[in-house]
Amino acid sequence: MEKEKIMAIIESLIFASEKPLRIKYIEQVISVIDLGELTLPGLMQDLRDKFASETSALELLEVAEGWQFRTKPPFAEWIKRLNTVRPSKLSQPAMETLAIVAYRQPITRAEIDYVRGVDSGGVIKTLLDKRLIKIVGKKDLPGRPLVYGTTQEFLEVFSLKDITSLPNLQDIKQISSAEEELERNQTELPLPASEPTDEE
Amino acid sequence: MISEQQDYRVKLEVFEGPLDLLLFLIKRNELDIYDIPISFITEQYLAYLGMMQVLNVELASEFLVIAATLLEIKARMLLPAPADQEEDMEDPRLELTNRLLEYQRFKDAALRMNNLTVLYRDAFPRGLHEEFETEDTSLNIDADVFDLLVAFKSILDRAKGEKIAYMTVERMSVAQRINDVMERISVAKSIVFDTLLSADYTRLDIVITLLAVLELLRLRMIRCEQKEPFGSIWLYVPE
Repeated sequence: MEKEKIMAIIESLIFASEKPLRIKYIEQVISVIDLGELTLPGLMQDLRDKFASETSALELLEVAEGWQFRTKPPFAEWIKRLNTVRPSKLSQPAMETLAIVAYRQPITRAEIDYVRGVDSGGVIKTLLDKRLIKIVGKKDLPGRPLVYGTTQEFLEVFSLKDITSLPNLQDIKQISSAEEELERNQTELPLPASEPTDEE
Repeated sequence: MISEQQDYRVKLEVFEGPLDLLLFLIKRNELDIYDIPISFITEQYLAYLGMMQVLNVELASEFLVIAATLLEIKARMLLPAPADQEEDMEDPRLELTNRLLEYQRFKDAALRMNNLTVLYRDAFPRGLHEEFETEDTSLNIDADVFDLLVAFKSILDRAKGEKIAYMTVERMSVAQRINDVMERISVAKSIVFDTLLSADYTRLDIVITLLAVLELLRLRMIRCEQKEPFGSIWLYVPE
């Protein structure tokens, strides 16, 4: 079978799948095809490039360890005009807390409170409700405190292949005010409105 | 010492917590985070807390914890190190500095995460639901007493231009106001909290109105709802 055809088959699989499609399912389906010289990772790469370079509105992304078609960012404004998207928002404290959980997981609530210097109970509940974080177990400490970690949804929302694809945590050389100003302006982050909004 | 005492009045930002406030003070005064002038920063920090108290803003207890930490560090810095330990005595500021740096790292990380391609903000997968803008009451949030107080505060702010004049005030009682409010609500079925008052009411009227509304809520004679955070608060007669 020629390469274009195999690529088209993979394309159809991903299109038909509602959630990011895991590579193992793609592998299962095309196992009946003789790939010859071709490899699955190579085909995935070519398919990704095909959408990236074309005038296509779609891009093929590897998120949450699966493959998914998404619209390219310049079209977001247009899609929002459909008014069918009702984004809920993450507050600045929620973003900070989410960052702490993402980089330091598994982490207890007491550890989060210590880093932020404030009680994080409300924000943690918001993040749990939005299914961005989950309880991943208990820590072997007095009182067996719960420990939190990020979810599959978290990876999907932030378009991350896996948790190691997070941007690197950087050491702070000095407290820069430009960055701070930027940060103060970015208090709102829209998220899928699957849950009632629960602002901090 | 570094800048005039005056300028803490300039800004009244809302800080996420005491560490946020400390970072702000360090930055604004262009201090070196690795060598924080502890006495100066303590003074600024306490001045800020004092100002918040004057404004009757409720401070989270965490602000006081850090205030105590600052004072403790300040005291330890004043004490001479025992002669034999002078070499390896740890800088009393070290723990605080590390906490501030750590917190700043995560603030930066949050910013970087926000710059990623975010689902339903920057990119959309298949599967939008075809439900065009409709009145969706499921999103309404039950407003709590705190929301009422926020709304109350904004009315107070609007009433700021109060003129000073002496006259005999015909005082409205809470009971009268309750009847008033109930009457208006039962006629209109629902009413926005803000519209119970206009800017020319006095502080006393506003307070009495708030008390009346709180009492009605307590008696479950009315219900209040907020369509979105910080949105208008609606008062209803429960079905």
